[in-house]
Amino acid sequence: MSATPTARPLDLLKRPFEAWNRFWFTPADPTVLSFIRILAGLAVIYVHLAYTFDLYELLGPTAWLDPPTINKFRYEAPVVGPSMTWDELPTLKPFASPEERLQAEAFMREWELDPRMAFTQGRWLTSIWFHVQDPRWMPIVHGIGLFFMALFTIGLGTRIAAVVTWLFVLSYIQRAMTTLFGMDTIMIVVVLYLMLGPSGAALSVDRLLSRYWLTRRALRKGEPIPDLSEPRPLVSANVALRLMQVHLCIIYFVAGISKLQGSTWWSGTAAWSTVANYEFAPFHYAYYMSSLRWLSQNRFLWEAVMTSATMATVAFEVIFPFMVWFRPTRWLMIVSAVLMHTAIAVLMGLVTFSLMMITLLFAFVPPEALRRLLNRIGRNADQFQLYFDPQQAGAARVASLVHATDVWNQVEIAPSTGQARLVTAKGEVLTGTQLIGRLARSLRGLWPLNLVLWLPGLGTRAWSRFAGEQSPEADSKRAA
Amino acid sequence: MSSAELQIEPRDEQVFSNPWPPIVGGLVAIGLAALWLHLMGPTLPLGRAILLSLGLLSVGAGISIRPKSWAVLGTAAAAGFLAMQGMNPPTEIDRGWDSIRLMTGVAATFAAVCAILVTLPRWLQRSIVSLLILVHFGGILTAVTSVPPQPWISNAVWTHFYRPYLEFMYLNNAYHFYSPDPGPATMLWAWVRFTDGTARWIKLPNKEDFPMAVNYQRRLSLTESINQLKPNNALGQLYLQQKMAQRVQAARNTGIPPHPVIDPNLQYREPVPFSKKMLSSYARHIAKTTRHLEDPEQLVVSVKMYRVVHTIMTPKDMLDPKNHPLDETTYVPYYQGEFDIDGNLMDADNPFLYWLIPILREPKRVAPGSGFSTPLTGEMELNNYLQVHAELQPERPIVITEPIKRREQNTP
Repeated sequence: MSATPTARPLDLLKRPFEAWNRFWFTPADPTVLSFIRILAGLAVIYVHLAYTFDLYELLGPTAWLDPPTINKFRYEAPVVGPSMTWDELPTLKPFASPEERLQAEAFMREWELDPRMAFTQGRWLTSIWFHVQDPRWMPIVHGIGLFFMALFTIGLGTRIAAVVTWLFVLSYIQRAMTTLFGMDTIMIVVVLYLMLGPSGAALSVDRLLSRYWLTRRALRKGEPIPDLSEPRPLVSANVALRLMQVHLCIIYFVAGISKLQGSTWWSGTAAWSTVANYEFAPFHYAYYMSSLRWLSQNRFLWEAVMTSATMATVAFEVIFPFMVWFRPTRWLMIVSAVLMHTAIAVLMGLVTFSLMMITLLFAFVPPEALRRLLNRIGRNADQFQLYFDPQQAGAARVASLVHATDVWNQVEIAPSTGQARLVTAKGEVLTGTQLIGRLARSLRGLWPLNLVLWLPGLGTRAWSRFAGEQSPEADSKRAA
Repeated sequence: MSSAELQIEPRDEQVFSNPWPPIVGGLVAIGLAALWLHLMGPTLPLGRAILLSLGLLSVGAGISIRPKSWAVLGTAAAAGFLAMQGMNPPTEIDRGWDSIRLMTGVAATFAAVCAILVTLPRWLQRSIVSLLILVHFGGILTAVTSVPPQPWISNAVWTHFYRPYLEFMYLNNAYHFYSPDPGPATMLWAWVRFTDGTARWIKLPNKEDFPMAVNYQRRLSLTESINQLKPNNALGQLYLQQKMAQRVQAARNTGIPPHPVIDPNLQYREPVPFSKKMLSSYARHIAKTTRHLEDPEQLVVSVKMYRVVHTIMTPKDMLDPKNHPLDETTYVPYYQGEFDIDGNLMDADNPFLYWLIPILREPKRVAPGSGFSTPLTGEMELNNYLQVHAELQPERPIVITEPIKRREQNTP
């Protein structure tokens, strides 16, 4: 019979640090972070495309919040801190000069506060739009911002694009500060953490380029083609995901317990104040109004529905931060969150806010589950064998491109001699532009190449140069 | 050998392996901009902006090639600080490119900290990162507890330590969504008067005006921003009594009564200074962008602003099919003042200022407007006192100076 070893006191002290170390610094698959990047990027592009219609109204020299007003907030707005003693009202120093008194009186007329009571003045705001006010340049700068957001979404030059995207998102937020709502609050959090983490390490053009380069280098050195099916786990990916998870838990918890201050959340009627709010709810649909009238006809039913919705909202927000960490309850919490945000999107019109919250929620999706979902896309895809001569530079480029974009392992690549040839599952042998045409149709990662190949003449010529082969046009000219 | 990374990313995986060409190129561009500013003053701002932007992007490319090198990060930090020297500094006349300098300074400082971090042993790196994580969420904690009633210590730490970080990063939100209670939406209605004496309403927001839902929601936030109000118990009982007396007198003079049902203490709601400034800015915007529908030559002379609360129908209201959310009596307007085209409040002494101007359905009298002594007809009539108030003429005449030139300046 073996005795259980008694834990030494030092081991007990070490455990919290080890747990912290495991929680934050275990390498994680960056696929989830990269998937969040794509979702967030699409939402960011949509939100900032919407600014195109409002560029001058919200950001320009005659905007709703115009430059003189925003500058007053930036430079003069008083910040009143708590009294550092038990006296609630501080003892004010006498004015040093009549000029100081006059300045203070002007400040009091402006801000209805004695400046001596302010801890400091101004706000730490930063925005490109504080300085770009020329109506001719605003669309250009806006377009540059959208360009970098697109790069960020597809994951090209992700490290730079992420920083520039974050700076632009912050710039719009800080300039148009009176037009912000919950969606902006969540968006800046998501983009911040995506910028800090390696969000371009997977599901990105950067990753495709990296795969191409690794394969190309291996072929050049005569080494075996590396297995690139999954990106390397990274500690920085885990840190970014954990930041998202912890922040999301804070958001839900605080949103939940703050509601407990309100009487309507206790009485069960708060849900009505949201679904019957004309400016938010879908009243433009006649059946929506009819549904509310119908529900109101039966008090018991009305109370049951509203109280359930109200209590469920508070209960979910309060328990989510605790239950989501346990495997048996994680999916229940995730699904509940998705349902709640779907209801918010439909019944309150807050679609972009709900999308951003669901995007952040993906931080809790296990990478294996996401991989299974992504692998379903490649299920039952066509299988091929590609034979190529590694000594031929063009053929090596083709093999590298195919291996880089073959994310669902559809193509078995084998060195051989002679011209590069593709053998289908039916035994068909394809070469030249027929080879790449078939692959471009079958390999989902190569679908964008169809756009290039579609260009008459140019596409096949460009491909032939890349593959180091004679173009069909050159063949026919020689024959002539 | 120090383990210079939290996570080693093999250079083999990088498409590009040498960070120095883009870094040197970036430094050259940044240096040129800084030199120009030093020698020629704040001229050629566009050229310097382009040089600085391309230079910083190029340096950023260098970092992305080799992000864990102290030499690369340190050089990038130096490039950032050098870039600040190429940006217009504050002068006596204006603040220069102050917020861009701030942005660049923060980025350069971050790069400098990372340059030191990557040289440290792994255990120390993780310790520092852990500390930064705790500091970060400590700041979030002060933000989420910033809504009154708030802990003194949270307020003190936020004011004295976290404020610059949270404001700069826009992490200052308390996440108190729909709490303590969800409330009705706030709208902004403006009665815009033109030089020919005509006027029209501008009512914000209107769903049909916006191609995308997010634009509409931004207008809802914009109107909500003027809904920051002073608590009446902070105004003082004597002050409120004086206001009430003035309001009652004004009701006798104009026939615009107080609301018969709503608590009188809730009928006077003065906005905080921030909201007053927003109102002034919004009035300027409306004055500059609103056109006369029939005669474009007519200019705006004043804008009367109303903060309008759109009350939510109760389930009992829903039972009556005649009741509808767009019924005029569901709107509760509060007068916010009349502003000139420069956003100056013209009627600070107006007895109706910040008061509720009711829209009521009242019993119809045999002789309209003849007061409580006349018999009722048994019917109800809509009395839109808001329209009555809007059409009241200002006590002081409005003088227009140089209208045509100002109109041309207003056109973007």
